[in-house]
Amino acid sequence: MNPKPPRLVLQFFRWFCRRDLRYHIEGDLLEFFYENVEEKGIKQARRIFTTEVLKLFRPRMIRFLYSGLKLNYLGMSKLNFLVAIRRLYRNRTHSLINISGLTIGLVSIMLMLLYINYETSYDSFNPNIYRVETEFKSEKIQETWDNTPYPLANELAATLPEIKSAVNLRKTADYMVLGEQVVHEKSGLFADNGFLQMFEIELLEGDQTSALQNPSSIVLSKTLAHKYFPNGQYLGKTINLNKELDVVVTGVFEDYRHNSHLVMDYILSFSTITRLHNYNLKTWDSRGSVCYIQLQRNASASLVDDRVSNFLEKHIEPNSYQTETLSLRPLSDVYLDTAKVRGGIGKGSTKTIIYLFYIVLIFTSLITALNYMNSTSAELINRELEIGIKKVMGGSRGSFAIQFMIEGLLVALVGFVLALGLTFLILPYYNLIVNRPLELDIINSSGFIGQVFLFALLGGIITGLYPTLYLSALKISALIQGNSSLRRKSISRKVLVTFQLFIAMPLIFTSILIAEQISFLETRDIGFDRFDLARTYVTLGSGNSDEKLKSIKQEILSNSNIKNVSLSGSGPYFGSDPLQVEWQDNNETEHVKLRIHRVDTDFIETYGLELTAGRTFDKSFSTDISNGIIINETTKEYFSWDEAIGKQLKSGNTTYHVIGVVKDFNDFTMFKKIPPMGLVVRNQGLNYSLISVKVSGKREETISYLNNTFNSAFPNEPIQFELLEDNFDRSYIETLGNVSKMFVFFSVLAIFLAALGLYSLVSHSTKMQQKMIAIRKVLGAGVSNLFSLLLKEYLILYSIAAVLGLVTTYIVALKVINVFAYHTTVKLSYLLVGGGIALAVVLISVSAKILFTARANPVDSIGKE
Amino acid sequence: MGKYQIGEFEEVVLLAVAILHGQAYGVSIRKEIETKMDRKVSIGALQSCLDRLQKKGYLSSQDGEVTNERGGRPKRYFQITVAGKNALESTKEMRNQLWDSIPQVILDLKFSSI
Repeated sequence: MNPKPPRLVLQFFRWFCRRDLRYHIEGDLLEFFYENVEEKGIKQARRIFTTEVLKLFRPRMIRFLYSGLKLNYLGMSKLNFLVAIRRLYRNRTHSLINISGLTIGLVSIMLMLLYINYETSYDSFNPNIYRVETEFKSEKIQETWDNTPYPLANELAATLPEIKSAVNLRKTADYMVLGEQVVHEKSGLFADNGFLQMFEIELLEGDQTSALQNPSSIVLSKTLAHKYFPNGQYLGKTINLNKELDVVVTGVFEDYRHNSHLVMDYILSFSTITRLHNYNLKTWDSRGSVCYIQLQRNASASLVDDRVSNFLEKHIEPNSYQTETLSLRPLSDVYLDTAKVRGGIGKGSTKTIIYLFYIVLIFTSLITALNYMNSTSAELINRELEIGIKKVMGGSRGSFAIQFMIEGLLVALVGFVLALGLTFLILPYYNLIVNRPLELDIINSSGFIGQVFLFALLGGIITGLYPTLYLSALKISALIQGNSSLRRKSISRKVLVTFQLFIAMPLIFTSILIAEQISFLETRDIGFDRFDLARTYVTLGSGNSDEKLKSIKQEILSNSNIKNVSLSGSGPYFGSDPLQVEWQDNNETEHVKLRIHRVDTDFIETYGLELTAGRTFDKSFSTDISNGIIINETTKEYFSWDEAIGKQLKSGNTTYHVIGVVKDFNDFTMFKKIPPMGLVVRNQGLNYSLISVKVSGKREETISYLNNTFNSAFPNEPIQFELLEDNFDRSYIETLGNVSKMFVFFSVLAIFLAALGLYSLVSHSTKMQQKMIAIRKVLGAGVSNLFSLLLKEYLILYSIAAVLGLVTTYIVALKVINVFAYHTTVKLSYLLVGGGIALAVVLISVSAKILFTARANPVDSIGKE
Repeated sequence: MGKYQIGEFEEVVLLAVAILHGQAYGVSIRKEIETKMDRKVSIGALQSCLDRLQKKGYLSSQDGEVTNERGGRPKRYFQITVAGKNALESTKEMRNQLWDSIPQVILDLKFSSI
């Protein structure tokens, strides 16, 4: 076989090599190659051939770069580059506006993208994991809960071959003993053994496959492990739970990633539950755990969804008034879909916020790009002479393209580098605001940085392209005489100004609206008095009897700083029980699942609930204690009752009599609407009790008095009273607060950008009007006349933009505000405020330049002719 | 260096062309440099140097016969021009002058230290 050099390499050589040298150099290459084949073998020879060709790839040998007798493109580009840098330096104001506009725009885009990317990255490590959720459907209500029966996970894994593994999770409410102290670690989970593998939690110590196999096993996060055992040697150590049970450390994991909806410092094996609590894990009537499944790699999720849907029918008696089906939700959706699902094993957010940010992102990108294009093209007018002369000398369209492209790209590049640096600097502070550990990792997020870079480049190219296309159509004579259509085409520029203002309107308006919404929520009447309420809870059982609790209640009531004390099974922001009730109206039966708080007779007074009808529980009526129920107004509306008092609600064998109606109060989170609720008097046999104390004045003193009293009465329990207002709906307020701060921040930036763009447009158009102004001045016009003449033009543009922008935004806002369960009203006065802010921006950015122009000496502009 | 300015590598190439006298083309020049002067040369470096020397007028060239071993490509033979010869000579002279002006002591020192 005849040995051949690498074909592609040879072709490459033929393509780039100078025509006058090509043949004999190719001959040399081939001769050398054949020699090498004989001396060193074909493989080696081919390799040498390739490196030789690569070494030939040098400016002197490349036909495109070799100047020879042809035009010196490389030299020209060098010159263009130099000229571009000089221009930037000479027009400092303009360059500053242009580059800073681009930089600020890019920084906001990057910061927003970082946030959006992070928020959508939650739990996206494995697309095959789903959460099984329960959907309750009845005539009027459809609800999705994340809770499922305990036996479900095992049963699913056993019956459906598409499911690779299934695990149960449940939040813990237990406390640990550290030395002599009792500690509530904030976030712990009970989990089945497959959990660690499914969620890809690598163990630093211990065996991932069996760490949660046995009851009384615990796996700790690194931080927690270090806290309990500062000397290391974690495995095999024991930790005491609830002063009842010793659990053995079987593993340690790296602190769990932040971008997961699950929060955990420790994980107990699921079977530990039965040793701590009195739960029956066998019964299908329970709804105590959250079930996650991992599908086989090739399994179809929709198929599994179908098969799972009616899975409960086999195990649970179906009832007539509501259906209970199962559905799958991809793990990566869980975090952002929190508002759609009741229950809640972890933290969550909502897609609305992401959409809001996308909108701001698009607006900011638009404004940035428009600004950049506007100011660059506006600057062209100063270059008429240069361009005209270049054209006279034979400058072709291509050479202009290269020149403008280089200038555009230079600005883009400088802007991009500055933006990258600035983002690095800002990021730590930004993270404090958004409360996320965002990182700008050049290596790992190069794709993301690439996108932003591409955006900047695209801007540069478009800015270069526009003048190229535009200028090639202009007449040389007109250019040199300063008479070109560059000076006349002001309609398109007016459209641009209007458009920029138009885009700024929704941003201003939405910022106002969100700020209003936050203050609305913070001051909203939530239906109960959350101030001066100290609360804690205590587990009831051996030694901690209900009677003891009641006697302490009497004891502390004698303290003059304590107004009311209530002992209840649950309360606002502290759980509730579901209770299925039915109401028989003649021949129809209506069902509803009430959220029930089991309370004592002092509850309503302690929480300051407002009765709108009927009366509160009365100790002297035994029927109140056994069968009385106080409902909220939502329940009353649900049944469409005119008069609620005296109605009978049946639940199983018990019939409740409605004795009162309270005003609706929030008891869970303001993300969600208030459901039908009811209050009944607690009976004996509760597992634990919530202790709510209304204090008056001297809060610290009173709280430490409470802590002391209870801790000495219940030495086995860690008791720590906390003020409700300190923890009140924290996640909600925090989320909204962060979002509003970010939103205002980005809106201000965007408005600033719009102002910059306006400024450069104004400087451009006043320059074009210089002669007109000079002539008017010569004819006797005063500064104030000219000022108002010039300003009028912008005020007209502003009015058009304001009317269009605000009306559109108003209409959209009326719809969007409804995503909040409780929201402020969109008032027309916000429109006025928004319009006013925009007007101020216009006046500030426009008037200085206009005033300057109006005061200029007419000789300067018409003296030249 | 007077009016003839050539670099070190250019000098080597010129010398090789002169040595080969009439048989100087890419491959042979390269071999000459590699064997006689014991230094590696890439085709790229050699060819751009040849091109440069030709531009400066120190070399002239003509296409030779077509042979099969070169894939049907002609050889290009290089000859040294008068200007090239002068350049070589002046470089050599310059160097000799420089050598001569080194004080004897330094050379002795150097040799004794070896």
